[in-house]
Amino acid sequence: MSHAKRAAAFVADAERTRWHDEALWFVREKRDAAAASVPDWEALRSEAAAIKRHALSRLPELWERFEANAAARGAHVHWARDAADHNAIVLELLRKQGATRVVKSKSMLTEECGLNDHLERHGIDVVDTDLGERIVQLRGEPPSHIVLPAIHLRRHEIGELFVEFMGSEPGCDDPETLTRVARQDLRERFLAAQAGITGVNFVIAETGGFVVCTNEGNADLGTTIPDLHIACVGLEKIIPEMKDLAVFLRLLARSATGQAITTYTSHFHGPQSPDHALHIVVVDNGRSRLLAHDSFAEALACIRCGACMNTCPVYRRSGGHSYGTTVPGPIGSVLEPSRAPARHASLPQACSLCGSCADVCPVKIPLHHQLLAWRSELAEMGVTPRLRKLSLALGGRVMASPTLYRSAGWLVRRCGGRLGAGVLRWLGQPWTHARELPPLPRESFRARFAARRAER
Amino acid sequence: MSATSRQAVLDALRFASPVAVPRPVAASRRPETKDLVELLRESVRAAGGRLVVVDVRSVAALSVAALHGVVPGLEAATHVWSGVASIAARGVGADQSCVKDLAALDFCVLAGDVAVAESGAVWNVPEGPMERAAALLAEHLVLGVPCRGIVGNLHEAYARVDPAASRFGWFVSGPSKTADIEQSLVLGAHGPRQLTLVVVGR
Ligand code: SF4
Repeated sequence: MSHAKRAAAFVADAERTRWHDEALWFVREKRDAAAASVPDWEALRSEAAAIKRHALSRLPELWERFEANAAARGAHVHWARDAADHNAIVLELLRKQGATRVVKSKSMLTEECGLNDHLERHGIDVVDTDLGERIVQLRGEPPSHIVLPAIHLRRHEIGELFVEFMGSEPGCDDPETLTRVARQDLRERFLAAQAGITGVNFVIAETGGFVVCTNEGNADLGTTIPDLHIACVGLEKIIPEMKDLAVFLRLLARSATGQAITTYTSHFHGPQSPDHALHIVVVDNGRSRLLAHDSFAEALACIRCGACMNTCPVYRRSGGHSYGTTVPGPIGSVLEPSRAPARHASLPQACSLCGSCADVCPVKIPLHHQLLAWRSELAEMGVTPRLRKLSLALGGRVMASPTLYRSAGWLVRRCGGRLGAGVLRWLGQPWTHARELPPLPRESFRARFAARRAER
Repeated sequence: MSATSRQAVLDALRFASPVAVPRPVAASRRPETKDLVELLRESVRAAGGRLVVVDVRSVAALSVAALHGVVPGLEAATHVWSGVASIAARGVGADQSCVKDLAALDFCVLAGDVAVAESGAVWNVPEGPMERAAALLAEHLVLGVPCRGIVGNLHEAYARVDPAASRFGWFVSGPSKTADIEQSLVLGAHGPRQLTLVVVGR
């Protein structure tokens, strides 16, 4: 299904669309204020971009260094080529521990790998502990945003969900009360957990440690109480040195939510105590393939702040689920076609090429250039939607022949905008659903130009 | 499986790696020109916490009496975890070995080394997993930092602390929070609902 078709389902609820659009724009404004409060913000972005590009050019060396350092600190490093490898490793670790109750904190990587499903199929109960992620987990949906997983939902929907799953008061939709209910429910699950799974924000080659950032403290509770911690990390997350953290952490939360820093920025160097075990699962799953691609390798610099989503006029008005991907929005539209070009071919086409995403990206990924590059790439692969191919071919023909061009212009002017709109509609273009074509001039530009000339 | 996966991943990376890009030189950092305590106060407030200044010699000298009036409820609290020598723990014995018993904590008082004025983040190294759990399960977290431990930004903070020197360490700013329900901010998502940063000395 195309992005436009799925978006139609979202925008059918006009009030939700308006709210979604405004709520995300508000986050974007907070980001702007936070960025303006830092002297040298732009220099910081350039530095972050340069450190990432440096790191991406020497991943094998950095990972080997990390592995040696982490092992020296008593952590175990595992390597996974793909999602299946990753899921098998995690399941095996849990089985060895005899763990059937697992708490998990936010990790887009485990979403990408479908870890929850895999573990549940094998009799392991996985609880997402980030409030937003818990909400979408209970609804049986994927997150619709990488930082704000439940941004597509309104409070009354969450209230109804909690009545069903947490026995909250029917009719209650107060965020404070609902958060308390969830806190109580999740606290019991934390206390009963036998293992904690977390994502990772930054891996430090120099020290063999890693950093996890959360606002709720769920990654911390989830790794303090159980004595097994499994951290799942994508190959792109490594940075060379500890001091680089300052650069990225100053950018991350400000870009994400407009906060100066997340509430908890936790640094793990080996298991927390001799009684704890720490396993780090390093996952490729298509990343090395992307790295080999000149036009798209830079997308691996992404630090998953979500700023490009908050600012994107298409994302804000179509909702994260319209992308049909793990990571939605501009960065998702760059990353996901590399996995399944035909399936995600409509994503780069959904972009208006306004460039706002690249303007806010803290690591300066040229997102809209990459989206444009995907359009030609997908055309070469032959997976451009058929109607678009047809209309482009038609347009190309007409533009290439002055005679055809003139007669087409004449025809359209004669029949007026109605024909144009009719043709567009016939071609299945949703462009005219909420728009009128502007009135067409009676004369062509050529005719007017000739007339002006003659007057002189 | 593991050894072959490792080789396969590293080989794939080697094959795909672009030409080496040199490490950039660090940009010059403009030092913070504002009054650091005031900036820190502002940042802590923005993070949902509260900053107080207490005039004692050192963080280690922080006592319940010194916090009288600035941390309401501490004197009367029945369950207190303390990482500060001059404040006695209450309701939790030193033999406390079960994290689950910490869920009743009213207060957790810990010492921080460095506070970052631009963000309100305080560097703390918990004394083991139990203390870390206490900092998460208590209703109210109190962090003491020496006044001379206040730095302008995170670059300066990383120049002062060495996270690799301990198994676990964290920057904490404000109480635990979430805005996952309609973007409406709620303090006390999973962890403390209140945070007081006590700046010690002048
Ligand atoms: S592409 Fe840039 S703006 Fe988008 S999530 Fe990644 S780092 Fe943030």
